[in-house]
Amino acid sequence: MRPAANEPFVFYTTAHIVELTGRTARSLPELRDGIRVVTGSSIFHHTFGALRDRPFTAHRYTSDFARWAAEVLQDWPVAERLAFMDPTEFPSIRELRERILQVIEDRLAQEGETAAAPPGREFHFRQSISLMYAVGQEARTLSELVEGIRRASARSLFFHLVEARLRIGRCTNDLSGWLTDALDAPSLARRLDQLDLLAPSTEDLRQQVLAALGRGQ
Amino acid sequence: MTPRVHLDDYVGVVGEAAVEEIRALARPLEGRSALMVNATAVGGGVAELLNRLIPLLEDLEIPTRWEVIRGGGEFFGVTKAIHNALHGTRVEITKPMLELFQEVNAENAAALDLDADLVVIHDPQPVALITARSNGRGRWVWRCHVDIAHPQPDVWAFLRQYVVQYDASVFSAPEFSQRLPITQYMIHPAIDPLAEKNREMEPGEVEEILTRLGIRDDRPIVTQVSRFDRLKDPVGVIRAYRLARRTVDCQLVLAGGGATDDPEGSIVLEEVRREADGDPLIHVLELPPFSDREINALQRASAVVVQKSLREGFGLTVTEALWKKRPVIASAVGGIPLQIVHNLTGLLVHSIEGTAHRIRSLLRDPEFARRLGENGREYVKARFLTTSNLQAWLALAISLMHPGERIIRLA
Repeated sequence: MRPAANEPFVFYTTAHIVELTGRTARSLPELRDGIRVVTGSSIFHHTFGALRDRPFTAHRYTSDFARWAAEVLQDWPVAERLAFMDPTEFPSIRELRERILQVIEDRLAQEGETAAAPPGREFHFRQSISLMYAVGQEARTLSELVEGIRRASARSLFFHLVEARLRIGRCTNDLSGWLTDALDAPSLARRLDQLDLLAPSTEDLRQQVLAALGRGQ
Repeated sequence: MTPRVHLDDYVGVVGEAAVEEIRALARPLEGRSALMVNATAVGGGVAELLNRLIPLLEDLEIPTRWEVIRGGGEFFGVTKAIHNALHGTRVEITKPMLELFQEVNAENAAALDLDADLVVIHDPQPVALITARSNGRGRWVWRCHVDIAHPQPDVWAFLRQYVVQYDASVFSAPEFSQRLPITQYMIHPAIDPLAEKNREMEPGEVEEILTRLGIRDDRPIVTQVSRFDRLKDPVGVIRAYRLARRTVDCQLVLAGGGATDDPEGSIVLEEVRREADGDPLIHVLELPPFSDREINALQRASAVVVQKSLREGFGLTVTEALWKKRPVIASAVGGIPLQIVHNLTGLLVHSIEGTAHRIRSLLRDPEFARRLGENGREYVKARFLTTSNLQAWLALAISLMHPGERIIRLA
């Protein structure tokens, strides 16, 4: 491992504003139809966005689709299959959308009617506009990286560990990339790649990262 | 007067990193001006929100003015009728009423300085100010704080002609919105953790207030805080309490206001007192305006908080209770399901019996109640505090500077 990097790791974070699409679904077929046509930003909002904004619900519902299927439609087979699906295992929104559609299509192919949402409990498709910006924290050494991770906000950690997968296009993250390329520490990078990103809270995720880097509490 | 807050005051609540991020987010907006326009400077949720939001924007070097439109009793009578019509109550709105609405808006447009980089018009009363927009310099946003999903059609058609002239609109929840040809954003309402209604209280202070209100802390307290309105179903809450009390020991507090200045409120209060029938363990408290300290204490002292509304807006009383780590039992109406993930941050119910069942189960399982409370507070912390609201407004303002972009990289 190099003692210091030429290129620093720059900590970024995100902010989001949510847009209403005007599209709703009252049933599983309508949910499927909506998922087929809404923007990637909408799929992101209801999956990754749900994990980011409601981390401690992730161990129950890994997406807004799963939660709605469970709590409103009470269609337990599809709710369970959607809840089991881990969005962080998908390197692209396209693949995630296809998988969600497959789960719903499989359910619709089964015999029997599916439920409709009571009035007022329709699924409302939303989408996010994401703003990315540096927070003024950089790291050139492993110690500085650890310090930055300790101080980082929940959103910043989520951006670098989870959302990074969508940017990079495979199941890794920003920290692993920098550890490998800038510090020549591939073994540390591999440890981070194996983290369970569906931690009940960001604090749990932070402690997992620190432990993987050998600096846990 | 509300003490002025500073952004750094929230470090103790949301952490230094979150506050630093807000400062970094605001940098592209430094020096840009904002204008907030609403119908009242005192009382009501919008004034409360602006009293907190504007000093924080100023703290971020975004000079922000606040203008309040003027109108006589007749104008506000028209806007009250419009408000009821937007909620779906059948109201007769005459042509002269609408003409008065337009005239008062035009008078205000002529009198007010409406020039700013971002102009936010709050709720229907000043909506027609958009006709005074000039030179296309600033961005105009209509912020709707009420649920207009089921309005009286002719009233909505009248207002809509103005709304569609804005650059964007903002609603508190998708369920509260209407289809519009302009961008619609969603910004949840928020509570201020540093306000009198939500600040931390010492046990002694809570005890003193309970004593003053005539409530003994010798058995678990179940509380609903809401004005005396049939849509809050206070009689239903009493019935649920009586069912629960067959097997668990507790007392009930129904605390609210709105009875002195609302003829219907007085009638409902009377109905509630009749239903309570002199039961010494049912405390019906008619609180005067600005009883924030008392509400804070009552919520904190409660073993269970109930919000058994039949219809609801966003439900900020639920947010307040969740913030105080109270286990909350609430109806699945309005904005409440946005706040309560059933069995995780609270409990959603659909009937009197359901409410009774959940009161009973929470009082029998204090560990589960405690976990619900902890989760509820974390949920509010992430989404429904003043700092989240501020961040959303900053993001919206920047987004308006980058039309059409879904991912915006700031320098």
